[in-house]
Amino acid sequence: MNKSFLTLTLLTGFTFFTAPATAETWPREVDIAAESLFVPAGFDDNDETMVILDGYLPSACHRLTAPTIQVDAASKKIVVGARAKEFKGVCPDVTVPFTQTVTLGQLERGDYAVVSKDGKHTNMMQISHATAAGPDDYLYAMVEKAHVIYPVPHKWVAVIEGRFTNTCLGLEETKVTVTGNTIQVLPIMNFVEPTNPKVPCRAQQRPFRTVVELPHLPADGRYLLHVRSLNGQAVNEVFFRTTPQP
Amino acid sequence: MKTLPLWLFALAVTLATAPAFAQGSKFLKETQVPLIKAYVPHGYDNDDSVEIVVTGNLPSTCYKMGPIETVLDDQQHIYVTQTAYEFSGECLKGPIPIAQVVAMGRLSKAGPYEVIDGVSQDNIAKLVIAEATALGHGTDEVLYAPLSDAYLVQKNGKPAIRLVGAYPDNCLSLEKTAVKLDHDVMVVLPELKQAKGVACEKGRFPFEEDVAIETALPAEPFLLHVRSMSGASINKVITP
Repeated sequence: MNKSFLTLTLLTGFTFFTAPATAETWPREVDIAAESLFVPAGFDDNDETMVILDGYLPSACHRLTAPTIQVDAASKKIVVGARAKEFKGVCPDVTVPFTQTVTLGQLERGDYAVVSKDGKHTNMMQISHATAAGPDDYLYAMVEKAHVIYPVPHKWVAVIEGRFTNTCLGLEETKVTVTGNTIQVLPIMNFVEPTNPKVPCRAQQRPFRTVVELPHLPADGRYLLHVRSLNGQAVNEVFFRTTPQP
Repeated sequence: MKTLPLWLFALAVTLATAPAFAQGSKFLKETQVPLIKAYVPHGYDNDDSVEIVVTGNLPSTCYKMGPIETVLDDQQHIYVTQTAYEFSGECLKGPIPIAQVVAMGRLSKAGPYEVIDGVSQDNIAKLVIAEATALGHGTDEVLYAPLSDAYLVQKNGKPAIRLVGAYPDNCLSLEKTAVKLDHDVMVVLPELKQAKGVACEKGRFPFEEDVAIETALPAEPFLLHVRSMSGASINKVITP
């Protein structure tokens, strides 16, 4: 046999057999372990449900991409995981914090186990049957932003801002509930009499800002502020509760 | 201010403007709503995860936003379709403004793209993807601040952008923040610096920094687009 043909054959065969094992394309996608999995409570079977992953990317060479979602309707188990593109190169050696909202869509009523892909976090999500004829049990205000501040010792408050879309809309009540590490805020609107009875209600954008005191948060750590908004939307903000230093 | 019962308000408005409220039994229907505008931050390359923000209106409070669908054809047209769920019941007639971030992922082909509303077929924005130049040096040419939130505030009577986040070590700090207004998009680039030659302590170091806005704010709604370290960005439509 021609020596060079043999060499070529061997080399080619070697290349074919080893190529899948050694070839690595960059950037590559990798799983990212989340440090927290937040599951807001209070969803109905006509809601767009969501959970929130929170954690750190290993370095500045990583960039968050679309999460993985597996919903097993039969066993009522949902597995979610963060993913990132890892780039080859020299990157600053810093861990990169991230918070990612994972939209699950509408779910049938029932009790679901929401599990992180690495199996480290499991939270229950209860989906109730919607009883109201409209989109929600309440008419929520349109919320555009929300954040948590610590204005005075031993008091955490949420600042919620948004817009009313009609001159006769106002904020009636803001319900606050805590389940585990998640704080749900429901800004409920009502209709109010016009200040001037001669001026009828009309469509108009009006900003609002409200400050809500949060209930006692038992321990330091990461918490999710989940604020419901008009038409099935929500604003999610993860914050860190720390005990102030004396 | 005196509060009217919901049923009384609903009855009054129904009698006066019957079409304003949807009537009938409980019903859920999936529908599509047209998008009016897309806000497109400039500066993306074919290495970036592209995010744009689309806006539109729901007809009334009887609608709830559904998922958004994107389709890219071989002519580099991106069709964006906003779905919505329509309910029966007592609802206030709109328009109800909506804004949604559309994560398009990585657009590998550099060049111009057109963003088209999937309902009206209107061209709602143009998007230009540049060729990436920084391959081999990580995810971005610069290191952006790790942010959890960004929003507009008034500081000493002037508008400013408050950047909120937490450094993962105590060697990082904000070096400079560029604020560029490009038509209806305000792009904010908070760049970090890393202290050299010192031992860094890993941990969580919260920060809150205000960046003054030197240019006049637009009179019309605009997108506040703030780049962040993880490759995600913070996007908010600001209505002056």
